[in-house]
Amino acid sequence: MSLLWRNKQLRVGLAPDRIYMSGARAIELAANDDGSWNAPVAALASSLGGMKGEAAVVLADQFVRYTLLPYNETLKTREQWLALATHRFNTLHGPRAAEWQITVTETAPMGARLACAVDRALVAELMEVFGKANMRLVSVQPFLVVAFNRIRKTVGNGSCWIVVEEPGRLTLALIQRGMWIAIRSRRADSGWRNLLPEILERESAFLGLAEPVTRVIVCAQHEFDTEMHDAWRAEAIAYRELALAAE
Amino acid sequence: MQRIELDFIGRSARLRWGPRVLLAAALGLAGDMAVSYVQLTREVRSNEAIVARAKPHQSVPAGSAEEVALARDAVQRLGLPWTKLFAALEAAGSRSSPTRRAARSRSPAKARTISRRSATC
Repeated sequence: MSLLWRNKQLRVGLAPDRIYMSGARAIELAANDDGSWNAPVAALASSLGGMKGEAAVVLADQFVRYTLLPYNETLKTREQWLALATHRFNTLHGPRAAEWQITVTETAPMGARLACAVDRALVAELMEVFGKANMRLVSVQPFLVVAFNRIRKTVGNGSCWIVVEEPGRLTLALIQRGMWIAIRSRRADSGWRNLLPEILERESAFLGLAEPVTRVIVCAQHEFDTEMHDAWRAEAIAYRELALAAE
Repeated sequence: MQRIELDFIGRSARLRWGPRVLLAAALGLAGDMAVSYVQLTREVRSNEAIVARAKPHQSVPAGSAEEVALARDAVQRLGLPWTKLFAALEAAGSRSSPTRRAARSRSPAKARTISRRSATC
């Protein structure tokens, strides 16, 4: 895809409490604690007037469910992995998973598979909204995937935590020696910055890590002081920057 | 670490232009090949027609035995190295002139002629 073509693409970051749009200010929405996508999609529909071309949407992790499937050499095809992911989501979330669109992708040739689920109705609604605005929706990706693809070269084959802050929630992903190990999601209040070491130590203990991972890449909604915790090597990237970054 | 390819929009929708561009390029190449093929076929046909129109070589009729003998004789004559032969003969002639004279003077016929002349005198 040429640079000229890429520049014409509208990039949208869709979160429960705001909408980020490339070349425009973020649209703030009313507090939306239940993580529903109806209000953001309705607001998006009314803000697309006069636009045309292609659009790519980055979904906040609050709209997405993740699970990592350990590598299994007996599973050969994409369909087999998809069946396992569907089974896993059904086990974890119950009958709600039947309403979800599930996608599986590999993280490394012999590594875990990343399975993501999103409400099927959300994708259909987005297609309809952009279709009505005479725009073509070419991509809908979860934030964690977009953020990882942007920072993966800095991670290399090292180890780190990726921490994604969204209102009332943190998504934690652990990468160890270049391999995806775990993805966890947990509620968090406004004081999470001070509690981050404890949160990560607790997760490390839960995962039974033999050696601690002390590098943290934080994707924060607002400023994050990387010097805040001496024992941790922290880097911060603005959430908005990652959500709107062109690939 | 490898890039994660994960998108909730199907590949067919996202990459709609890619296959079209490839198809257009493939069709263009196929058309070019077809035009080249037709041109080459025409060229081959015209060349074959030229070859077909050309008269075949006529065989030379065999001559009589006398003509053959004359021809052989002419070839043999032409084949002789006349220049060298003449040069060798001239050289041999010039070298042998005094000797011949001497030999002629010593020949018995000459001697008889001389003695007969002296006897008549």
